[in-house]
Amino acid sequence: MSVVGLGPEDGWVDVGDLGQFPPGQPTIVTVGGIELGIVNLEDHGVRAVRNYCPHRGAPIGAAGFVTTTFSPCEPSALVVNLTTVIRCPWHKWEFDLDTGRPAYGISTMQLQVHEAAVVAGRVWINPARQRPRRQPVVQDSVDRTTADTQASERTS
Amino acid sequence: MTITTNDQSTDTSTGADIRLVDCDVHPNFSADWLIELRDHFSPEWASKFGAREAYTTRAFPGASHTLPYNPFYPVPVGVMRGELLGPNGEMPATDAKVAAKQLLDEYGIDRGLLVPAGIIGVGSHPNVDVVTEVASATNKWVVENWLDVDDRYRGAIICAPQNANRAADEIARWSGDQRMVGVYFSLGNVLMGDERYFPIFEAAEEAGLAIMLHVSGAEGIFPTAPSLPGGTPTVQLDWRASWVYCYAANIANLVARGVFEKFPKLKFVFAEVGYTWLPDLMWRLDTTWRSTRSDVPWVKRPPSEYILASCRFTTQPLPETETDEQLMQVLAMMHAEKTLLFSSDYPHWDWDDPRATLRRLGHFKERVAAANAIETFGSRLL
Repeated sequence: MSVVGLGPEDGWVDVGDLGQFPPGQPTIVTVGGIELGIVNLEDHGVRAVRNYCPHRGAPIGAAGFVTTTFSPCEPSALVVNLTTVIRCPWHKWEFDLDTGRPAYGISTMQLQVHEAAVVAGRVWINPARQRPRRQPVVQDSVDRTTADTQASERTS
Repeated sequence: MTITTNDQSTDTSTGADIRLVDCDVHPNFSADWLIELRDHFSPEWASKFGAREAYTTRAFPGASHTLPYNPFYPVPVGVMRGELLGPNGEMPATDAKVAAKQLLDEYGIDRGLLVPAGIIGVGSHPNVDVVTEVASATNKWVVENWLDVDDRYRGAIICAPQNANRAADEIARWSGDQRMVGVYFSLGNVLMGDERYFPIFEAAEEAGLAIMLHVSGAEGIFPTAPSLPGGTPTVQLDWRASWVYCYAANIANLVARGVFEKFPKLKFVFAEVGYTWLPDLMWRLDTTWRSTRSDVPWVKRPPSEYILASCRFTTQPLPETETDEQLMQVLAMMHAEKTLLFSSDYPHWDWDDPRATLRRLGHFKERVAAANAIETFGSRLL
Protein backbone atom coordinates (compact mmCIF):
# COMPACT_ATOMS: atom_id res chain seq x y z
CA MET A 1 0.00 0.00 0.00
CA SER A 2 1.12 3.53 -0.64
CA VAL A 3 -0.66 6.69 0.25
CA VAL A 4 0.14 9.85 -1.59
CA GLY A 5 0.27 12.91 0.59
CA LEU A 6 0.03 11.15 3.91
CA GLY A 7 3.14 10.89 5.99
CA PRO A 8 5.23 12.78 8.45
CA GLU A 9 6.83 14.76 5.63
CA ASP A 10 3.40 16.23 4.88
CA GLY A 11 2.68 16.97 8.51
CA TRP A 12 0.49 13.94 9.14
CA VAL A 13 0.71 12.24 12.48
CA ASP A 14 -0.37 8.72 13.37
CA VAL A 15 -2.40 9.09 16.55
CA GLY A 16 -3.29 5.48 17.10
CA ASP A 17 -5.32 2.48 16.16
CA LEU A 18 -8.89 3.15 15.13
CA GLY A 19 -10.00 0.86 17.94
CA GLN A 20 -8.76 3.40 20.46
CA PHE A 21 -11.44 5.80 19.33
CA PRO A 22 -14.89 4.58 20.28
CA PRO A 23 -17.51 5.51 17.71
CA GLY A 24 -19.69 8.49 18.46
CA GLN A 25 -18.21 10.81 20.97
CA PRO A 26 -14.81 12.50 20.70
CA THR A 27 -11.58 11.30 22.23
CA ILE A 28 -8.79 13.73 23.02
CA VAL A 29 -5.27 13.37 21.67
CA THR A 30 -2.44 15.83 22.01
CA VAL A 31 -0.26 16.46 18.99
CA GLY A 32 2.51 19.00 19.11
CA GLY A 33 1.00 20.53 22.21
CA ILE A 34 -2.37 20.97 20.51
CA GLU A 35 -5.38 19.18 21.91
CA LEU A 36 -7.61 17.64 19.28
CA GLY A 37 -10.88 15.80 19.65
CA ILE A 38 -10.98 12.77 17.38
CA VAL A 39 -14.46 11.71 16.32
CA ASN A 40 -14.93 8.24 14.92
CA LEU A 41 -17.89 8.29 12.56
CA GLU A 42 -17.40 4.66 11.56
CA ASP A 43 -18.51 4.32 7.92
CA HIS A 44 -18.13 8.06 7.49
CA GLY A 45 -14.52 8.26 8.59
CA VAL A 46 -12.94 10.29 11.31
CA ARG A 47 -12.90 13.98 12.12
CA ALA A 48 -10.57 16.08 14.22
CA VAL A 49 -11.54 19.32 15.94
CA ARG A 50 -9.59 21.69 18.13
CA ASN A 51 -10.48 21.38 21.78
CA TYR A 52 -11.41 25.03 21.90
CA CYS A 53 -14.81 26.45 21.05
CA PRO A 54 -14.43 29.75 19.19
CA HIS A 55 -17.31 31.19 21.18
CA ARG A 56 -16.03 31.04 24.76
CA GLY A 57 -13.18 28.59 24.68
CA ALA A 58 -15.07 25.58 25.99
CA PRO A 59 -13.47 22.10 25.66
CA ILE A 60 -15.59 21.13 22.67
CA GLY A 61 -13.08 18.55 21.45
CA ALA A 62 -13.21 16.69 24.72
CA ALA A 63 -16.79 17.14 25.79
CA GLY A 64 -18.66 18.14 22.64
CA PHE A 65 -21.71 16.07 21.77
CA VAL A 66 -21.76 14.57 18.31
CA THR A 67 -25.24 14.49 16.87
CA THR A 68 -27.48 15.42 13.97
CA THR A 69 -29.45 18.62 13.74
CA PHE A 70 -32.51 20.06 12.04
CA SER A 71 -32.68 21.89 8.74
CA PRO A 72 -34.48 25.20 8.38
CA CYS A 73 -38.12 24.44 7.76
CA GLU A 74 -41.66 25.71 7.91
CA PRO A 75 -43.14 26.50 11.34
CA SER A 76 -43.92 23.40 13.38
CA ALA A 77 -42.32 21.08 10.84
CA LEU A 78 -39.14 19.17 11.59
CA VAL A 79 -36.64 18.06 8.99
CA VAL A 80 -33.73 16.04 10.31
CA ASN A 81 -30.44 16.97 8.75
CA LEU A 82 -28.12 14.01 8.72
CA THR A 83 -25.04 16.15 8.59
CA THR A 84 -23.10 15.41 11.71
CA VAL A 85 -22.49 18.33 14.01
CA ILE A 86 -20.63 18.68 17.24
CA ARG A 87 -22.48 20.54 19.97
CA CYS A 88 -20.42 22.56 22.42
CA PRO A 89 -20.83 21.53 26.06
CA TRP A 90 -21.24 25.09 27.31
CA HIS A 91 -23.67 27.10 25.21
CA LYS A 92 -24.69 24.28 22.89
CA TRP A 93 -23.60 25.96 19.69
CA GLU A 94 -23.49 23.46 16.87
CA PHE A 95 -20.68 23.23 14.33
CA ASP A 96 -20.46 21.21 11.14
CA LEU A 97 -17.87 18.53 11.76
CA ASP A 98 -16.70 18.68 8.16
CA THR A 99 -16.23 22.40 7.79
CA GLY A 100 -16.25 23.81 11.31
CA ARG A 101 -18.92 26.26 10.27
CA PRO A 102 -21.56 27.15 12.87
CA ALA A 103 -24.95 25.70 12.06
CA TYR A 104 -27.22 27.83 9.89
CA GLY A 105 -25.84 31.24 10.59
CA ILE A 106 -25.90 31.29 14.37
CA SER A 107 -22.49 32.95 14.26
CA THR A 108 -19.56 33.73 12.01
CA MET A 109 -17.05 32.11 14.37
CA GLN A 110 -15.66 28.86 12.98
CA LEU A 111 -14.50 25.85 14.89
CA GLN A 112 -11.03 24.81 13.82
CA VAL A 113 -11.17 21.40 12.19
CA HIS A 114 -8.24 19.42 10.86
CA GLU A 115 -7.66 16.87 8.17
CA ALA A 116 -8.13 13.36 9.45
CA ALA A 117 -8.02 9.98 7.78
CA VAL A 118 -8.11 6.28 8.49
CA VAL A 119 -5.49 4.27 6.67
CA ALA A 120 -4.83 0.64 7.30
CA GLY A 121 -6.73 0.77 10.55
CA ARG A 122 -4.68 3.67 11.86
CA VAL A 123 -5.96 7.18 12.51
CA TRP A 124 -3.94 9.97 11.00
CA ILE A 125 -4.45 13.65 11.54
CA ASN A 126 -2.77 16.69 10.20
CA PRO A 127 -2.54 19.29 12.95
CA ALA A 128 -0.98 21.79 10.63
CA ARG A 129 -3.64 21.70 7.96
CA GLN A 130 -7.24 22.50 8.35
CA ARG A 131 -10.13 21.10 6.47
CA PRO A 132 -11.45 21.37 3.93
CA ARG A 133 -8.36 20.57 1.89
CA ARG A 134 -7.48 17.86 -0.60
CA GLN A 135 -7.32 14.62 1.26
CA PRO A 136 -4.79 11.82 0.87
CA VAL A 137 -5.57 9.45 -1.96
CA VAL A 138 -5.33 5.75 -1.33
CA GLN A 139 -3.86 4.16 -4.40
CA ASP A 140 -3.45 0.55 -3.49
CA SER A 141 -5.16 -0.57 -0.38
CA VAL A 142 -8.12 -2.46 0.87
CA ASP A 143 -8.50 0.32 3.38
CA ARG A 144 -9.76 3.56 2.15
CA THR A 145 -9.45 7.10 3.17
CA THR A 146 -12.89 7.97 4.24
CA ALA A 147 -12.63 11.55 5.18
CA ASP A 148 -14.18 12.72 1.96
CA THR A 149 -16.84 10.10 1.57
CA GLN A 150 -19.54 11.89 3.41
CA ALA A 151 -21.73 13.63 0.92
CA SER A 152 -24.39 14.90 3.19
CA GLU A 153 -25.82 18.36 3.28
CA ARG A 154 -23.64 21.02 4.86
CA THR A 155 -24.91 22.92 7.84
CA SER A 156 -24.14 26.31 6.53
CA MET B 1 -76.09 50.94 7.75
CA THR B 2 -74.09 50.88 4.55
CA ILE B 3 -70.39 50.58 4.97
CA THR B 4 -68.57 53.33 3.21
CA THR B 5 -65.87 52.39 0.79
CA ASN B 6 -63.36 55.14 0.58
CA ASP B 7 -61.06 53.67 -1.98
CA GLN B 8 -57.99 55.83 -2.33
CA SER B 9 -55.86 53.07 -3.75
CA THR B 10 -55.09 55.20 -6.78
CA ASP B 11 -53.59 57.87 -4.56
CA THR B 12 -50.15 58.61 -5.89
CA SER B 13 -49.11 60.83 -3.01
CA THR B 14 -45.64 60.13 -1.74
CA GLY B 15 -46.37 61.33 1.72
CA ALA B 16 -44.04 64.29 1.44
CA ASP B 17 -46.79 66.52 2.78
CA ILE B 18 -47.21 64.37 5.87
CA ARG B 19 -44.75 65.49 8.50
CA LEU B 20 -46.25 64.31 11.74
CA VAL B 21 -48.29 61.18 12.40
CA ASP B 22 -49.75 60.45 15.81
CA CYS B 23 -50.08 56.67 16.14
CA ASP B 24 -52.02 56.58 19.40
CA VAL B 25 -55.10 58.81 19.64
CA HIS B 26 -57.97 57.74 21.88
CA PRO B 27 -61.57 58.59 21.06
CA ASN B 28 -63.83 58.17 24.06
CA PHE B 29 -67.44 57.17 24.26
CA SER B 30 -69.39 60.12 25.63
CA ALA B 31 -71.76 57.85 27.46
CA ASP B 32 -72.02 54.24 28.52
CA TRP B 33 -70.73 52.11 25.66
CA LEU B 34 -74.11 50.42 25.23
CA ILE B 35 -75.80 53.75 24.71
CA GLU B 36 -73.04 55.04 22.48
CA LEU B 37 -73.06 52.00 20.24
CA ARG B 38 -76.71 51.02 20.31
CA ASP B 39 -77.48 52.47 16.89
CA HIS B 40 -74.70 50.32 15.46
CA PHE B 41 -75.75 47.01 16.94
CA SER B 42 -77.88 44.60 14.99
CA PRO B 43 -81.49 44.69 16.19
CA GLU B 44 -80.99 41.29 17.76
CA TRP B 45 -77.99 42.35 19.73
CA ALA B 46 -79.52 45.67 20.68
CA SER B 47 -82.30 43.64 22.26
CA LYS B 48 -79.93 41.22 23.88
CA PHE B 49 -77.92 44.05 25.38
CA GLY B 50 -81.08 45.80 26.52
CA ALA B 51 -79.97 48.76 24.48
CA ARG B 52 -82.80 48.88 22.00
CA GLU B 53 -84.94 51.17 24.01
CA ALA B 54 -83.65 53.55 26.60
CA TYR B 55 -80.85 51.69 28.28
CA THR B 56 -81.50 51.91 31.94
CA THR B 57 -81.15 49.70 34.92
CA ARG B 58 -84.66 48.53 34.14
CA ALA B 59 -83.24 46.31 31.43
CA PHE B 60 -80.95 44.48 33.80
CA PRO B 61 -81.94 45.39 37.33
CA GLY B 62 -78.89 45.35 39.49
CA ALA B 63 -76.66 44.26 36.66
CA SER B 64 -75.06 45.60 33.53
CA HIS B 65 -72.88 44.55 30.66
CA THR B 66 -69.29 45.66 31.10
CA LEU B 67 -66.35 45.40 28.77
CA PRO B 68 -63.00 44.35 30.24
CA TYR B 69 -61.35 47.24 32.02
CA ASN B 70 -59.33 48.01 35.11
CA PRO B 71 -61.44 48.15 38.28
CA PHE B 72 -58.61 47.49 40.70
CA TYR B 73 -55.70 49.77 39.89
CA PRO B 74 -57.09 53.27 39.36
CA VAL B 75 -54.88 56.21 38.61
CA PRO B 76 -55.51 58.28 41.73
CA VAL B 77 -55.33 61.49 39.76
CA GLY B 78 -57.65 60.33 36.98
CA VAL B 79 -56.78 59.10 33.53
CA MET B 80 -57.72 62.17 31.49
CA ARG B 81 -55.92 65.45 31.02
CA GLY B 82 -57.67 67.60 33.57
CA GLU B 83 -57.84 70.76 31.48
CA LEU B 84 -59.72 68.94 28.74
CA LEU B 85 -62.64 67.88 30.91
CA GLY B 86 -65.95 69.60 30.23
CA PRO B 87 -67.51 72.03 32.73
CA ASN B 88 -69.47 69.21 34.26
CA GLY B 89 -66.66 66.73 34.08
CA GLU B 90 -67.51 65.52 30.59
CA MET B 91 -64.96 63.23 28.99
CA PRO B 92 -62.57 64.70 26.43
CA ALA B 93 -62.08 63.23 22.94
CA THR B 94 -65.75 62.42 22.52
CA ASP B 95 -66.14 64.76 19.57
CA ALA B 96 -63.99 64.36 16.50
CA LYS B 97 -64.04 68.03 15.62
CA VAL B 98 -63.06 69.16 19.08
CA ALA B 99 -60.32 66.57 19.22
CA ALA B 100 -59.06 67.67 15.82
CA LYS B 101 -58.80 71.20 17.09
CA GLN B 102 -57.16 70.27 20.37
CA LEU B 103 -54.70 67.81 18.89
CA LEU B 104 -54.33 67.87 15.11
CA ASP B 105 -54.63 71.62 14.57
CA GLU B 106 -52.82 72.62 17.73
CA TYR B 107 -49.76 70.49 17.08
CA GLY B 108 -49.69 70.28 13.30
CA ILE B 109 -50.48 66.58 13.24
CA ASP B 110 -51.25 65.37 9.72
CA ARG B 111 -52.60 61.94 10.61
CA GLY B 112 -54.06 60.58 13.81
CA LEU B 113 -54.46 56.84 14.27
CA LEU B 114 -57.49 56.06 16.41
CA VAL B 115 -57.59 53.45 19.16
CA PRO B 116 -61.01 53.74 20.84
CA ALA B 117 -60.34 53.67 24.55
CA GLY B 118 -63.58 51.93 25.50
CA ILE B 119 -62.82 48.72 23.66
CA ILE B 120 -59.09 48.26 24.08
CA GLY B 121 -59.59 45.31 26.41
CA VAL B 122 -62.10 43.33 24.36
CA GLY B 123 -59.60 40.55 23.77
CA SER B 124 -60.05 39.61 27.43
CA HIS B 125 -63.81 39.23 27.22
CA PRO B 126 -64.91 35.62 27.74
CA ASN B 127 -67.80 35.75 25.27
CA VAL B 128 -66.73 35.78 21.64
CA ASP B 129 -70.26 36.54 20.45
CA VAL B 130 -70.38 39.72 22.49
CA VAL B 131 -66.96 40.85 21.34
CA THR B 132 -67.67 40.13 17.69
CA GLU B 133 -70.73 42.35 17.87
CA VAL B 134 -69.02 45.07 19.88
CA ALA B 135 -66.07 45.12 17.48
CA SER B 136 -68.35 45.40 14.48
CA ALA B 137 -70.44 48.15 16.07
CA THR B 138 -67.38 50.07 17.15
CA ASN B 139 -65.94 49.96 13.65
CA LYS B 140 -69.13 51.55 12.36
CA TRP B 141 -68.97 54.09 15.16
CA VAL B 142 -65.38 55.00 14.34
CA VAL B 143 -66.19 55.50 10.68
CA GLU B 144 -69.31 57.58 11.20
CA ASN B 145 -68.20 59.61 14.17
CA TRP B 146 -64.51 60.09 13.39
CA LEU B 147 -63.23 59.07 9.98
CA ASP B 148 -66.10 60.74 8.15
CA VAL B 149 -65.65 63.91 10.18
CA ASP B 150 -62.01 64.73 9.50
CA ASP B 151 -59.89 63.16 6.78
CA ARG B 152 -56.78 63.33 8.92
CA TYR B 153 -58.02 60.48 11.09
CA ARG B 154 -57.16 56.88 10.37
CA GLY B 155 -58.59 53.75 11.95
CA ALA B 156 -57.63 50.21 12.89
CA ILE B 157 -60.24 47.54 12.28
CA ILE B 158 -61.30 46.22 15.65
CA CYS B 159 -61.78 42.49 15.76
CA ALA B 160 -62.43 39.69 18.21
CA PRO B 161 -59.27 37.58 18.38
CA GLN B 162 -61.24 35.00 20.37
CA ASN B 163 -62.43 33.67 17.02
CA ALA B 164 -59.93 34.35 14.29
CA ASN B 165 -62.19 33.33 11.43
CA ARG B 166 -64.83 35.79 12.50
CA ALA B 167 -62.11 38.36 13.01
CA ALA B 168 -60.92 37.74 9.47
CA ASP B 169 -64.49 38.31 8.25
CA GLU B 170 -64.56 41.65 10.04
CA ILE B 171 -61.23 42.56 8.48
CA ALA B 172 -62.55 41.67 5.05
CA ARG B 173 -65.65 43.77 5.70
CA TRP B 174 -63.61 46.91 6.29
CA SER B 175 -60.35 46.47 4.45
CA GLY B 176 -61.75 48.18 1.35
CA ASP B 177 -61.90 51.40 3.32
CA GLN B 178 -58.47 52.85 2.75
CA ARG B 179 -58.77 54.94 5.88
CA MET B 180 -58.39 51.74 7.87
CA VAL B 181 -54.64 51.30 8.16
CA GLY B 182 -54.46 48.43 10.61
CA VAL B 183 -56.18 45.72 12.59
CA TYR B 184 -56.58 46.28 16.30
CA PHE B 185 -55.60 43.08 18.12
CA SER B 186 -56.62 43.11 21.78
CA LEU B 187 -54.57 40.54 23.64
CA GLY B 188 -56.09 37.73 25.65
CA ASN B 189 -54.48 35.03 27.71
CA VAL B 190 -53.00 33.15 24.76
CA LEU B 191 -49.71 34.38 23.41
CA MET B 192 -50.25 35.77 19.96
CA GLY B 193 -47.83 33.51 18.14
CA ASP B 194 -50.43 30.77 18.50
CA GLU B 195 -51.62 29.21 15.27
CA ARG B 196 -55.23 29.99 16.13
CA TYR B 197 -54.54 33.62 15.23
CA PHE B 198 -53.10 32.92 11.81
CA PRO B 199 -56.35 33.71 9.94
CA ILE B 200 -56.13 37.22 11.37
CA PHE B 201 -52.54 37.59 10.27
CA GLU B 202 -53.32 36.18 6.83
CA ALA B 203 -56.22 38.56 6.34
CA ALA B 204 -54.22 41.54 7.53
CA GLU B 205 -51.17 40.75 5.45
CA GLU B 206 -53.25 40.16 2.34
CA ALA B 207 -55.03 43.48 2.78
CA GLY B 208 -51.86 45.40 3.56
CA LEU B 209 -52.94 46.21 7.10
CA ALA B 210 -50.64 46.38 10.11
CA ILE B 211 -51.50 44.59 13.34
CA MET B 212 -52.01 47.20 16.06
CA LEU B 213 -51.59 46.35 19.72
CA HIS B 214 -52.09 48.57 22.70
CA VAL B 215 -52.15 48.11 26.42
CA SER B 216 -55.50 46.45 26.95
CA GLY B 217 -56.07 47.84 30.42
CA ALA B 218 -57.17 44.40 31.54
CA GLU B 219 -53.76 42.81 32.00
CA GLY B 220 -53.73 40.45 34.94
CA ILE B 221 -57.28 41.31 35.98
CA PHE B 222 -59.32 38.53 34.41
CA PRO B 223 -58.41 34.91 33.78
CA THR B 224 -59.02 35.63 30.11
CA ALA B 225 -56.64 38.62 30.14
CA PRO B 226 -52.91 38.60 29.45
CA SER B 227 -51.10 37.20 32.46
CA LEU B 228 -48.73 39.43 34.34
CA PRO B 229 -45.27 38.19 35.26
CA GLY B 230 -44.63 36.90 38.71
CA GLY B 231 -48.00 37.34 40.28
CA THR B 232 -50.69 39.84 41.10
CA PRO B 233 -49.81 43.53 41.42
CA THR B 234 -51.40 45.70 44.08
CA VAL B 235 -51.70 49.26 42.83
CA GLN B 236 -51.37 51.28 39.65
CA LEU B 237 -47.62 51.58 40.26
CA ASP B 238 -46.71 47.90 40.11
CA TRP B 239 -49.54 47.00 37.73
CA ARG B 240 -48.42 49.58 35.21
CA ALA B 241 -44.80 48.53 35.46
CA SER B 242 -45.79 44.93 34.76
CA TRP B 243 -47.64 45.58 31.52
CA VAL B 244 -44.65 45.84 29.33
CA TYR B 245 -43.49 42.31 30.01
CA CYS B 246 -46.71 40.93 28.55
CA TYR B 247 -45.73 42.48 25.28
CA ALA B 248 -42.12 41.38 25.48
CA ALA B 249 -43.41 37.85 26.05
CA ASN B 250 -45.70 38.13 23.03
CA ILE B 251 -42.88 39.27 20.80
CA ALA B 252 -40.74 36.38 22.00
CA ASN B 253 -43.63 34.04 21.24
CA LEU B 254 -44.13 35.49 17.77
CA VAL B 255 -40.49 34.70 17.10
CA ALA B 256 -40.64 31.22 18.60
CA ARG B 257 -43.73 30.21 16.67
CA GLY B 258 -42.30 31.42 13.37
CA VAL B 259 -44.94 34.08 12.76
CA PHE B 260 -42.45 36.60 11.41
CA GLU B 261 -41.11 33.96 9.06
CA LYS B 262 -44.58 32.95 7.91
CA PHE B 263 -45.91 36.50 7.51
CA PRO B 264 -42.86 38.48 6.45
CA LYS B 265 -44.79 41.45 5.10
CA LEU B 266 -46.88 41.93 8.21
CA LYS B 267 -46.01 44.74 10.62
CA PHE B 268 -46.85 44.60 14.32
CA VAL B 269 -47.24 47.98 16.01
CA PHE B 270 -46.98 47.99 19.79
CA ALA B 271 -48.50 51.12 21.30
CA GLU B 272 -47.87 52.41 24.79
CA VAL B 273 -46.02 49.39 26.03
CA GLY B 274 -42.54 50.89 26.17
CA TYR B 275 -39.44 49.89 24.26
CA THR B 276 -36.38 50.49 26.39
CA TRP B 277 -36.60 46.78 27.13
CA LEU B 278 -36.34 45.90 23.47
CA PRO B 279 -32.53 45.79 23.19
CA ASP B 280 -32.36 43.42 26.14
CA LEU B 281 -35.12 41.24 24.71
CA MET B 282 -33.37 41.02 21.36
CA TRP B 283 -30.07 40.16 23.00
CA ARG B 284 -31.67 37.44 25.09
CA LEU B 285 -33.49 35.96 22.15
CA ASP B 286 -30.46 36.01 19.88
CA THR B 287 -28.25 34.42 22.52
CA THR B 288 -30.76 31.73 23.32
CA TRP B 289 -31.45 31.08 19.65
CA ARG B 290 -27.77 30.46 18.94
CA SER B 291 -27.88 27.73 21.54
CA THR B 292 -31.29 26.27 20.81
CA ARG B 293 -31.74 26.84 17.08
CA SER B 294 -32.39 23.16 16.49
CA ASP B 295 -35.43 23.46 18.77
CA VAL B 296 -36.99 26.02 16.43
CA PRO B 297 -35.44 25.34 13.01
CA TRP B 298 -38.12 27.49 11.40
CA VAL B 299 -36.48 30.49 13.04
CA LYS B 300 -33.99 30.92 10.25
CA ARG B 301 -32.41 34.18 11.25
CA PRO B 302 -31.41 35.77 14.54
CA PRO B 303 -34.62 36.83 16.32
CA SER B 304 -33.49 40.43 16.44
CA GLU B 305 -33.53 40.54 12.66
CA TYR B 306 -37.17 39.50 12.57
CA ILE B 307 -38.12 41.94 15.29
CA LEU B 308 -36.39 44.88 13.66
CA ALA B 309 -38.04 44.00 10.36
CA SER B 310 -41.55 43.39 11.68
CA CYS B 311 -42.15 45.21 14.98
CA ARG B 312 -42.78 48.87 15.53
CA PHE B 313 -43.23 50.80 18.75
CA THR B 314 -44.84 54.10 19.64
CA THR B 315 -42.99 56.83 21.50
CA GLN B 316 -45.30 57.67 24.37
CA PRO B 317 -44.33 57.58 27.16
CA LEU B 318 -40.96 58.86 26.04
CA PRO B 319 -38.37 57.65 28.58
CA GLU B 320 -37.25 60.35 30.96
CA THR B 321 -33.63 59.35 31.01
CA GLU B 322 -31.07 61.13 33.17
CA THR B 323 -29.45 62.61 30.12
CA ASP B 324 -30.44 63.10 26.50
CA GLU B 325 -27.40 61.08 25.52
CA GLN B 326 -28.82 58.07 27.33
CA LEU B 327 -32.03 58.39 25.36
CA MET B 328 -30.08 58.53 22.12
CA GLN B 329 -28.23 55.37 23.12
CA VAL B 330 -31.43 53.47 23.78
CA LEU B 331 -32.96 54.68 20.54
CA ALA B 332 -29.84 53.64 18.65
CA MET B 333 -29.90 50.17 20.22
CA MET B 334 -33.50 49.62 19.17
CA HIS B 335 -32.86 51.06 15.69
CA ALA B 336 -35.41 53.78 16.21
CA GLU B 337 -34.65 55.11 12.76
CA LYS B 338 -37.01 52.43 11.51
CA THR B 339 -38.80 50.94 14.53
CA LEU B 340 -40.15 53.95 16.40
CA LEU B 341 -43.36 55.82 15.57
CA PHE B 342 -44.50 59.04 17.18
CA SER B 343 -47.53 58.94 19.50
CA SER B 344 -49.12 61.34 21.95
CA ASP B 345 -51.73 59.19 23.72
CA TYR B 346 -54.17 62.11 23.59
CA PRO B 347 -56.23 62.80 25.72
CA HIS B 348 -54.82 60.75 28.56
CA TRP B 349 -53.22 62.17 31.68
CA ASP B 350 -49.82 60.74 30.84
CA TRP B 351 -49.78 61.92 27.25
CA ASP B 352 -46.67 63.36 25.64
CA ASP B 353 -46.70 66.87 24.30
CA PRO B 354 -45.70 66.42 20.63
CA ARG B 355 -43.42 69.42 20.61
CA ALA B 356 -41.53 68.23 23.66
CA THR B 357 -41.21 64.72 22.29
CA LEU B 358 -39.91 65.86 18.92
CA ARG B 359 -37.36 68.13 20.58
CA ARG B 360 -35.84 65.18 22.39
CA LEU B 361 -35.57 62.82 19.44
CA GLY B 362 -32.33 64.27 18.07
CA HIS B 363 -31.39 62.91 14.68
CA PHE B 364 -34.22 60.36 14.88
CA LYS B 365 -36.83 63.10 14.73
CA GLU B 366 -37.82 63.05 11.08
CA ARG B 367 -37.99 59.28 10.83
CA VAL B 368 -40.02 58.98 14.02
CA ALA B 369 -42.32 61.90 13.26
CA ALA B 370 -43.69 60.52 10.00
CA ALA B 371 -41.41 58.49 7.74
CA ASN B 372 -41.51 55.33 9.84
CA ALA B 373 -45.29 55.49 10.10
CA ILE B 374 -45.63 55.92 6.34
CA GLU B 375 -43.38 52.91 5.78
CA THR B 376 -45.36 50.90 8.31
CA PHE B 377 -48.88 51.71 7.16
CA GLY B 378 -48.16 52.38 3.52
CA SER B 379 -50.43 54.18 1.10
CA ARG B 380 -53.43 53.91 3.38
CA LEU B 381 -51.89 56.54 5.58
CA LEU B 382 -51.43 59.05 2.76
